This record gives sequence, C-alpha cells and structure tokens, in this order.
Amino acid sequence: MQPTPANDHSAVDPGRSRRIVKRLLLTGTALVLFALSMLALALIYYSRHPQAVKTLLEKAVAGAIHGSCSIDDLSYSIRRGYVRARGIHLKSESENRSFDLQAANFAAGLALNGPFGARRLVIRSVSVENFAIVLNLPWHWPNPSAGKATRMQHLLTRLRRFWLFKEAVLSSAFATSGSLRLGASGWKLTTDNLNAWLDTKWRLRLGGSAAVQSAAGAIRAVVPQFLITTGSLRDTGTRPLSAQLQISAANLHSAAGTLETVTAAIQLSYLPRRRRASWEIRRLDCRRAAIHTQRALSFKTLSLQAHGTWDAAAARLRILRWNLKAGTLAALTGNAAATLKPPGMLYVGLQTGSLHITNLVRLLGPQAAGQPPGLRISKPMALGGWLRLSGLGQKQRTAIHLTGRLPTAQVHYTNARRGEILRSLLSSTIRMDGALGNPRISLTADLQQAVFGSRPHQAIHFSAALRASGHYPGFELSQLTAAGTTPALPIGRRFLPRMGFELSLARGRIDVQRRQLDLPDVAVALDTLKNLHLAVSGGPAHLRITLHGAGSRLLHAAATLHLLPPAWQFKATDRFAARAVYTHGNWQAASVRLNLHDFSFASPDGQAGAEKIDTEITGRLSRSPDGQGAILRVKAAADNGEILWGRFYADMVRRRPRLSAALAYNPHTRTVALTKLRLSLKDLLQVQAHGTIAAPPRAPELTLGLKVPPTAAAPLFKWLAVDPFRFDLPVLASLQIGGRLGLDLNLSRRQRRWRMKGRLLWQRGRLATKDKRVDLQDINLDLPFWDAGAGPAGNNAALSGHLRIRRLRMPYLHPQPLSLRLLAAPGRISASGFTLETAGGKLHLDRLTADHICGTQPVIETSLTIPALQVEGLAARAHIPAANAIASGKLAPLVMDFAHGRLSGRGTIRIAAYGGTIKLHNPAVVSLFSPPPALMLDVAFGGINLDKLTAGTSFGRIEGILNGHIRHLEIVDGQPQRFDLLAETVKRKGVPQKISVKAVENISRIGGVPSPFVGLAGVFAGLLKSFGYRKIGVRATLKNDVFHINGTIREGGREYLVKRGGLSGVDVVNWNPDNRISFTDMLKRLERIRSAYGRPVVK
Amino acid sequence: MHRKRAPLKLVFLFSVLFIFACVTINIYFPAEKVESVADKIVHEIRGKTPPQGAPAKTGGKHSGIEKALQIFSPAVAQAAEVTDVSNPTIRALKKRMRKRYAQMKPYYTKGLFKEGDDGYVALGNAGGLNLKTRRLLNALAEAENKDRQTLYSEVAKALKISPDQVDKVATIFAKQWQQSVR
Repeated sequence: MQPTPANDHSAVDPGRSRRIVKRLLLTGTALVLFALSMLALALIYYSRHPQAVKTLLEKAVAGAIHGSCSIDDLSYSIRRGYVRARGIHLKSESENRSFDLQAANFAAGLALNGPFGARRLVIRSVSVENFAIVLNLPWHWPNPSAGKATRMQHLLTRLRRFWLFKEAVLSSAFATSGSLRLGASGWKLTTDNLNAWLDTKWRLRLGGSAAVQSAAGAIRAVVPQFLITTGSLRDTGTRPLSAQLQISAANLHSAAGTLETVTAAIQLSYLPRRRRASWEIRRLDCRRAAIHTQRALSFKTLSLQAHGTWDAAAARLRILRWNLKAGTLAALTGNAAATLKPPGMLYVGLQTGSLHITNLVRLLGPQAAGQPPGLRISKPMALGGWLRLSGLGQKQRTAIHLTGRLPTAQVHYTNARRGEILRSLLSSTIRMDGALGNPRISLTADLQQAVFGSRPHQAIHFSAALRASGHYPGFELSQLTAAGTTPALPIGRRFLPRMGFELSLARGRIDVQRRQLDLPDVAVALDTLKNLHLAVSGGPAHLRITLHGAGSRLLHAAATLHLLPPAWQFKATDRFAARAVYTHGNWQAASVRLNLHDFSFASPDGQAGAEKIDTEITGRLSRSPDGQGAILRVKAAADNGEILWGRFYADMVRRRPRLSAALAYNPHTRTVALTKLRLSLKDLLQVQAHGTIAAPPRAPELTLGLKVPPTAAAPLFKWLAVDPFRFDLPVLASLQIGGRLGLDLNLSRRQRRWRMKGRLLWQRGRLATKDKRVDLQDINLDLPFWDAGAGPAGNNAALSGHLRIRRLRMPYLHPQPLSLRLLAAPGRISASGFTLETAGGKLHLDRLTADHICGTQPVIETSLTIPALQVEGLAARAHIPAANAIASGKLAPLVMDFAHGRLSGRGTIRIAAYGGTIKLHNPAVVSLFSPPPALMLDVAFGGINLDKLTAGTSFGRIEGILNGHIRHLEIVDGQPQRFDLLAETVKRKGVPQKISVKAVENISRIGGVPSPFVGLAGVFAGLLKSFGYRKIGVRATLKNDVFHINGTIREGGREYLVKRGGLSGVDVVNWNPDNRISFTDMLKRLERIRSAYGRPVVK
Repeated sequence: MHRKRAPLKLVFLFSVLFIFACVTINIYFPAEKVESVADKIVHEIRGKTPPQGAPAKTGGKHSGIEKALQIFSPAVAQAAEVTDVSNPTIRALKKRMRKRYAQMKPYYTKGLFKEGDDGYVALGNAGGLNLKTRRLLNALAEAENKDRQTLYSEVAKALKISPDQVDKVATIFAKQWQQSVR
C-alpha cells in the first residue's frame, strides 16, 4: 500500500507535533479554566446579584411566552436554598388570545441533592399567594419543543446540568387566594378563592369557587365550592391519572332550565399512554330542578349516576350505564355512546324507565304547590327505547325509538270545585319512531269502567278507545270509540232515564300546536237515537260543530226520556241538521232544521192525534248586535196531514199552519223578548204576539201581547164551537154567525199573579137561528175584559166598550134595537141596564155584572123588573087561557151561574089572572149546559075564580074560588117532572059553588075514583047540568112519573075530592088512599077526556 | 181437668156470640129492579121497545056475578102498576139518545164503538179512520156518555139509590147496552 501525503507530513516531525499538541492543550486548558473561572465568577455574580438574574429571567420568560414578563422583586439564595419573588406579572397578548398572570408573592425552598454533575434541584414548599390568571382562549401554552434549540441553548443547558443541577424536581407546592379568568368563544369561566396543594407525592388538591357564563348570558353556572383531588401526578406517562371532582351547592341557570343546589362527585381515571379514561359520576344530586317550557316545570330532586369510558384517541365516549332520577317524576336507566370525531355519533339507550304521569301532569298543570293533583294514575308508565344521532354538521341524521307503556291503572281526576269527576281504568301505549326532530308518534289509550261526573245520578259510565298517530303537531285519529250510558240529567223535578250511547270516529285529525281539530264524521248512537253524525272542525278561534241525522228516531228517544206524555204514541220519519259556530270562547251562531215526515201521534184515549203531517221547523240562533245577548228566530210550517186535539180538528192541507217568531235574550236583564210572532191558519185565523219573559229571582214574569186581526166569524165559530160541540148542544148547528171577530189581549204575570186585559171585537155581526125566530142583526160588539188575578187591581180606569144590535128579534119580543154600554174592571164586566119590549109590555133588566169572567166560576148578575106585562099572549102560546092576565114583579138578583149551569132569580112575579093572584116564587132554570134544562119554581095562587078558569075548556065548568099552591114545581122538556099541589075551594060571598056533571066526571077520571054517575045516578044526573058542592079539595104530587092524588076533605072515614053541600049535590069519594097513577096513565086519562069531548082538556 | 175445660168453653161460646153479634149492614141495592129498568130504557133507545100499554093483569079470579056487576059498575080507572122509572128528564134523554143512536149505529156495526163494562161507550179499533171521523166519533161518544151519566143519576134518584152507587147502576146498564149491539 502506498503512503499518502498526510502520512508523509505526520512522519516529518513527531516532536514538533508533540509540542504543538502540548501548547494547544495548555492553551485549551487555560481557556477552559478561564471560562470556568468566568463562569464561576458569573455564577457567583448572579448568585450575589439576583437583579441581574431577574432581568435575564424576565427576558427569557417574555421571549418564551411571546409577551412580557416583569418581576418586582426577586431574591434567592443557593446556599440558604430559597427563592422569592414578588410582583410577578406575565402577559401575552395577540389578536384573539391573551394571557395574563399575576402573582403577588412567590416563594420556594431550593435544595441541591446528588453528586456534582448529577445534582438535582429540589424545589419544595412552593407557595404562590394572591395570584390571578386571565386567559382568553384559544390560547396555547408555550411549547418549548416546538422550536429548535440553538447551540447556545444546548451549551447552557449542558452547563446548567453540569454545574448546577441535572434536573429540577418539584417536591411540594401550594397556592392560595388565586383567581382564574378564562374566556373562550364567548364563554367565561371565573374561579376565585383558588387554593391548590401539591403534596410531596404530587397529589393535587385544588379547590375554590367557579362561575361559568355563556356568551349572551343564556347559561350561567355558579359553583360556590369545588374540589379537585388527584392521585399522584408523577409518571403520568406510564401510570394512570386519577382525579375526583366534588361540587357542592352549585346552581345552573339557563333558558331551558334551572338546576339548583347541585352536589356532585365525579371520579376520573386517565391513562395517558393509552389516552383512555374511565369515569364515574358517583353522585350528582340536585335539590331542585326546573325546566322552562311554556309553563315552568319544577321538581324537587334530580339525581344522576353514571359511569363510562373516554377514548381520547378515538374521541369516543361510552356511558355504560346511567341512572337518572327526577324526584318522583321519573326514574330512567340506560346507556349511551358518543363519538366526537367526524362524522360523529351519539347514542342514548333507555333500557328501563318509569314515568309517573301523575307527577308530570302536576308539573304541567295549573295546580299551585300544595294542592292535590288533579290527575292521579296509580301506576307509572314504563319507558324504553333509544336515541341516535349520527353525522355532524349538515349531514346530521337522527333517529329515535321510544316506547311508553302504561299498564292497566286506576285513573282519578279531581276538580277543586266539584271533587272527583273521573275515575277509570286506563291502559295506554305511546311510541315515537323516526327522526328526532319530528318523530312519528303513535298513541293508543283504552279507558274501561270509566265514570265521569261528580254526582252519582249524573255520572256518565263509559269505556273508550283512542288510536292516534302522526308527526307533531298534526296527528291522525284512526279510531275513537266510546260506549256507555248517559247521565240521569234533571229536567224540572225529575230525571231523565239513563241511556246507552256509542260514539265512533272513523278518521280525524288534530293539530295540537295550532289547536285545530277536524273530526269530519263521528257516528253517534243512543239506545233510542240512531244515525246521528257529529262533525267538529276548527279551533278555539273558530270552531264549527255540526250534528245531523236522518231516521234518528227523535220522537222515540223523546218518549223514552219521558219528554213526551206517557202512553202517547208518536211516529215520524225525521231528518235534522244542527250547526253551531264557536269563536273565541263564545257561541257565535247556531242553527237547526228539523223535518218530520209522516208525523203522527195519538193519545191513549184517542182524544188527540195527528196523522201524516209533514212539518219543518227551523231555528237560527245568533248573537245580538251588542254581542252580549242572543237572538233566536224560529219558523215552523206544516203542509200535509191532519190533527185532532180533543174536539178541535184541523186539516193541514187546508189550513197550512205557519209560525214564525223571534226571541231575543238579554243577559243583563235576564229577559227574553218575543217579537214578530205570527201564527196563521189559512182562511181561519191569524195571531200576532209580542212580549217579554223575565227571570226574576223567584218566579218568571211575563208580558204578552196577543192580537187576532179581524177575521171572518163564521168559519171561526164553526171551527171553535159548532164542529166540536154540535152533539152536546145541537142548537149550535142551527146558529148562523156572520161578521168579523178580532181579539186584542194583553197578558202579564207579576209576582206570581196573572193579569189579563183586552178586547173582543165583533163587527157587523149576525147571530140567527135557522128558523130566524132568533135573529140578531148588525151586531157591533166591543167587549172589554180585565182579569187581575187574586190581588188588588190597582187604580187603572175601567175599560169601556159597547154592544149594539141594530135589530134584535127573539120570541115574545118585538123586533127592536139594543144598545148597551160595557165596562170592564178587574175581574168584572158590567153592562148598562136595558129594556126589552114584548107584545104584552116591557121587561127591564137592570145593570148586568159579570164576575170571575176568567175564572172557573163566572157569574152574571142582574135583576129583572116587570112593571106590567100582559101575559095573555105568552100564556096563549102555552095553551093556557089567561085573558087580561097581567104580570108584575121583580126578580133581584137574577143570577146566571155558568159553573153550575143555573139561571136563578130571587123574588116574586105576581100574575093577576082569573080574578085572583098567581105568585111565581124564585124561578130557576138548571142544567142549562147539560140538557135537558129544567125550570123550577114555587107557585102560590089564591082567589082564582074557577068559573073564569074553566070557561071554554072541555074539562067542564066549575064555579067557586080556588086557593092553593104548587111547590117544587119542575118542568122539563115542557112536561111537569115534579110538583106538590094543594088546591082547595073557599067560600066567597056572592060566588056560587057549582060543578058541572062533566067536571065531576073528569075529576073522577083524573082522580081515578069511581064516577058517581053510573047506573041510575047517571040517569038522574043527565037531567041536571050542575050540582052544588061545599068544597073541592085535591092534593096531588108528582114524582118519578107517578101521581098521588088524594082528596083533602075527610069526613066519616071517607076521603072526598068533591063534597056536596047539603042534601043536593054530588060527592066524589076517593076510595083508594094510596091512589097512584103513572104518568102514562094520566096522559091516557087526559086523552080520554080530550077524545070524549073533542076539545083539549087544557088549551 | 174439668176446671180447665170450662174456660175454653166460655171462650168458644163468647167467640161464637161475638161473631154472630157482629152487625152486618147491607145497603140494599135493587139490582133486579135496575136491571129491569135498564132493559126497558135500553130497548126504548135502541129501537127494540117491549110492548107497551099492554093491559095489566088484574090478577085473581072473578066470579060471573062479579063480571056482570062490572058491566053496571062505574068504569074504575085502573092504575097501572107503577114499575116504570121515568120522568121528563129521562124521556128527554132517551129521545136525544135514540136520535143519536141513529148516527152511531153504523159505527157500532163496524166495531168503531164498543160498549164498555162501565156502562159507557168507548171508541173501538179506530186505527183506520181519519181524524175527522175520529173527532166525530169522539164527539158522539162524549155526548152519549154525558147523557148516560145524567140518565144513570136520574134512574138512581128515581129508585132511591144513593148517589155513590150510580156506578153500580151504570154497570148493570152496561150489560144491556152490550146486548143491544150484539
């Protein structure tokens, strides 16, 4: 191998090389010693001059933090082993971050341990007092390794490690009275009273108070006291770091809710090498929690326990189990997982959960604290499900599946005012599926054995089922059914019977946010009411309710509910529709239309009924213009069929009844005003009415004006009187009525008393019988009437009226006009007196008064005065000869009692006839309205000249004076029904007492005694025309069509009808003391007398 | 033993005496008479009047001398046996009812009127009738019943029957009314 030039040079002078090396070594050594000396000097200088170190330190730190550093005072002693500083201020500030640290006092003990070159600086008992740190993030601690160290730095480091210490070790430290202000992204963290202890095992205890506030202050947390304790912080690279956080009396306020008096204990174990942590929320208790929704929800206690892991490398959080108890509201258990790295994921599983709906409703409800809950459900709802969020940012996807099941539980709902109003068994299921923001919610609820109502007899017993699903806020109702019994609602003093009912909804929709409801068709059925359909749509602002039905059997239902007379039969095909509009809490308008086709009814006695009536009734209810009251307009019409009500009948085709009315209700005065009532029956009657019904505290008050415009009297009379009562009073059928009738009536009720006031008008009227024997022409009647009930009438003036008849024609009367003035006072109508002219003279009727005209016992009272009346004409019509007979007298009072059908007069009418006097006492006609009427009176007669009486009759002539009486005379249908007759002759000077043979025979015939003129006596009697007699005495009674005839003369044990005078004459002896003759026999005897002589016995 | 039987006998005898001593008050009601009257009145009204004016049986046997003497004896007016119950009110009622019966008869034959057991007429099966006809029937029935009520009262009065037993009279009349329309 060939030597190189270098090798040649080294080979030139080895000694020189050694010298050079020696020189160099000496020089180097000198330099090193110099350097070391200088260094030592420097160290000695710096150790003796801390101010110089302070400056260096300030510059070094300022350079490291890219800010400023100032230390007011720095002192240290290597020998004595301490360092102290005062007024430390570090500040670093850039565009969006800043750091500011101030410490009033800093002290630390220093000690160098170990051999030279490998010494260790032990910093012990570090104390920092009154420090304050202000950080505005993002801020990063300076990273020394971030930049590349310079050679000088390396050199200095090596020098420091050789000369001073290899490493610095912190032994223990504490900091007191510190504060930390941290701001990041608008959030602010403030901690005060920070105290930290780092013991010799590097276990840290950090305590203080903290407050966190979000940017806008929406979230604010105050932690009066927290304490962080850690395990040893040494060797954190290889050993797990454990820490525990304890918080007490913390408060969190946010817009979403509030947590008050929070205490927490959180355990953390972190393995830095694996960058994984396990944690456990051992306890997180909150004495009061509140959720701020539309209505504040608060519950007393909230506690959370959870544990899990945190994988920092994967940014994954796992909650292996969490347990949340919200007071008595809910207890939830589940797990969760979250990945914070993009795309990110959050999963929350709810494994078991129970929700006490009672307490939830109490939170949601309006009840004040301390009040019992309105809704009580005996069991909690079991919850389960999960929540998943995947993807962050705009591609976020969420899903939720939550199921709540309420097993069959007792439900009670209590109203503070009415007590318990609902009790039931409830089972329910609620499911939420889909995206978290708008999941599909399905709800089923079943109510069994439900009782709604606070009073037993008014409670509704029912069961119901609900199926609804949809996305908030709109839900589709796929099923809503209810079945049960209606309450026994009170009507007056009785109760409606209970009825079964069924509700069924096929489809519907509800919007809980807009509070809108759309139930297009709810089928409603009752036990007695079918085919009803209810529709509801709208919300509180405008709600429309429609109820319609066809063939719903309304009448059957009404009968079942006892709204119709019992035992009556009703039948109709019905169709109806009712609509109502409800706006902003008030009924705005409602209408109803009811059609009854082939409407029929019948009373059990057949007295009332209707058949095949087609009727339509419409009603419309609206608000009054002032918005306070209501106006109801009603119309009713019937077009077909017929109706019978007792004796009154109407053919609907002919009469076409129409009714219309308007009723206005005023809530302030509590009155109902009736206006524009019109009732018309075609070609018969029109009625107009108006009035007011008031509701005073005790009894309703009413005023009603009723008017019947003048209408033809004939059809009205026929409809109201002739047709109904022609069989009871056949005379009605023979009456002819003309003119026009009208009525004007005011009816009122005040203080439980009825008052009636009005006028009945009859214009251009006519009343006549068929034979015109009675004929009243051109009647003009203005009949006032006034009934004031039972109380005082007041001081109102009497009503005046009149009755004018242009031509009055009646039997026994001359045709004449009649004019009466009528006055009506309360309960009474009076008419002025008037005079009637008859063929024999005048009759004068005094003032007529009619009392109790509107009651059940009306009475007309007057008096009849007969000044001097020739009764011959009147008697002649009764076939009684009464020449020159004159009647006079007065019947006062003359009373017409309508209640008993009795016309009676008190007084005497004297008739001067046959030379004597006939007195008619107290005549009366009874049974006027229940034919046949009977005339009753007592008759007394005296001084009757028998010669005048019997002259011209076929009875035979009798001369003498007759006295006697007829008591209890009753005449019915022109025949005597009863009487008690006593007739005896009396002697009068100058008046002979003779009796003809014929009269004797007729007396015998009538008396049923043997004729004295049989055999030879008859032969002799034929020679004579008359005989003298001493006395004629007859007593006759009639009762039950049996005559008892006896003589009043008793001599020698015999009973004489006729007793002769002296030796001559004739006796008529009644041999039979019980001489009874039937009425028919009497007629035959009279007939025999008539036929024997060819003339009537009595004319 | 004998001492014990004596009281029992006394009790028995006392009981028997007590039972028979109870006074039974029977209010006499002349049912047969009413029946007879009802038969006559109903037949007079309904047009099946039994022969009237038939000579009353004199009863008893007369010898030939007596018959001869009768020829020469005065014509004794024989009072008819007073068994009829009548007065003008009853006659007027009968007249009205007879007249009304002419109107009612067609409806009886159609079964639209029926005679009740209470002595009053009632509507039969009037289901097929129009209301106008029913009103006619109601009016006829009411008028008829009103007259019957008066008739029964008058009959009771004539027979001296207490007013509170008028219903019994009506019940007896009912049988006659019913027979008359069979």
